[in-house]
Amino acid sequence: MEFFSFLWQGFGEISWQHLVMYLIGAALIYVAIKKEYEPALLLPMGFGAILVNLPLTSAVTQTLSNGEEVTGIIEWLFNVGINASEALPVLLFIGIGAMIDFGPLLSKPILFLFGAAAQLGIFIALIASLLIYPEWGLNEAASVGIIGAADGPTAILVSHQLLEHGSPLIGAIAVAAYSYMALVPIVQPMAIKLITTKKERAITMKYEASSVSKTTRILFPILTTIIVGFIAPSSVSLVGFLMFGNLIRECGVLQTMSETAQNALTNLITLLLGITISFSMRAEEFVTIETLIVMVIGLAAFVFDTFGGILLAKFMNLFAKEKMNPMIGAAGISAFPMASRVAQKMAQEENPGTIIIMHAAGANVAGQIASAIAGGLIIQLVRSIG
Amino acid sequence: MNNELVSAAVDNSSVESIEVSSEEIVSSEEVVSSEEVYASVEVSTEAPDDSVMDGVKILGKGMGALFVAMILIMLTTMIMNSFKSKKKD
Repeated sequence: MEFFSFLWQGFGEISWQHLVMYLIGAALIYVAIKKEYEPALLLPMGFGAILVNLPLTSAVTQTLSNGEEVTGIIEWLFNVGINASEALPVLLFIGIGAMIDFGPLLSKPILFLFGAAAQLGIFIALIASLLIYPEWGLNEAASVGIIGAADGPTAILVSHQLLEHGSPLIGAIAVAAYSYMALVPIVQPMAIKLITTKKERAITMKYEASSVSKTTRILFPILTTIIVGFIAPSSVSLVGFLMFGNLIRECGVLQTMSETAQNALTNLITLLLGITISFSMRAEEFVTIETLIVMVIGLAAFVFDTFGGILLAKFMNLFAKEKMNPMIGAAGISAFPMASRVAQKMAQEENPGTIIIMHAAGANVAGQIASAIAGGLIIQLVRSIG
Repeated sequence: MNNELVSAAVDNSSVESIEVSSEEIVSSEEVVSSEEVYASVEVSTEAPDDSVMDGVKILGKGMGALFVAMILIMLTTMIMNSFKSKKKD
């Protein structure tokens, strides 16, 4: 029997924290497949959570009894793809940019403001982190706050830049960001109903589709990158790659490249990003009270994002001749296209004839730009103050 | 080495002064270290308020800069749209 004792070695290494991680991994895989919530990311993350928590797993770097170090593939991917250059989250922005049609936003430029207002949750969550968990410094609090950007790659990039290498908070933040993005259809209606009346939600808005010239569509990504570069240089890698992807889409001469960016590139990076980020989900560091606090504050960040957008719409309604449906403000978060779909669905529930989808979509893509700018601003401000 | 020093001190008949001076050194170190502890306690009690204030500053500056950036992009878009409209007219 002792001859086969090596077979049982793994069982002896299992702790209750490992079991919790298996459950979390299984839960992520379940919601990805059964509920179809962000399956492209939650499924790789869920599987990765199990992979990195198997006893003596070769997926992360191990030191053998003879002192030899064996490099694990997930740890290597993390070091190369995220730690060394943040390449994975940044490159993903090319694909996102290539997928976005800024048309509804360009024809109604006022919608840009909702993108800014709906980032309020980032900053409220930052302050809440400092109040609730004083052990965290500004870097940790800002990293938790960025969950409010409602944008996975931005959350990963910012938290990685502000936190120490391999910090367990990075995993918790990524899980919270993607989970709440997936749960936008559940979280946002509750928040919207808290501060809007039935009458406000039923407001119908006229949409006069004005065509946007090709020149505007081409100049927009270039000029936006330049403006952001002057105001928030730390945002340039995010906004620049987002706009680069959009320029490929709009220029009209790189059709194949645009399609590659939208499909092959995005899928490949998303697949690798999900399983790579699971390196930060190792049981001994992930199963802590801090992870729970991250999840709670992350939820609050999404709620305050929603409040920020709605309150701006209500404020603008004080002066506007034609009233706006305040739910288009709620669509100003970055979670695209779920947030705009939620706004449209709720408007139709109150009044079946109400159509606000184009306004909501415009605010929603404004949120994409604003969240990337906010990510860079947070890094810039925390470094200047800290 | 220590034995040599002690024997040298004994030879010079200055044992008392050595004892006194060593006590002084020890006691002064204790005072310094307790002050340091006090100082660190003071800092740690003030730290949360300071960082919350920093958080509020980041809120103000961050939202301000974000709105400035988005307004500039909005105005640029409006200008580009107006060129197109003029062309049509």
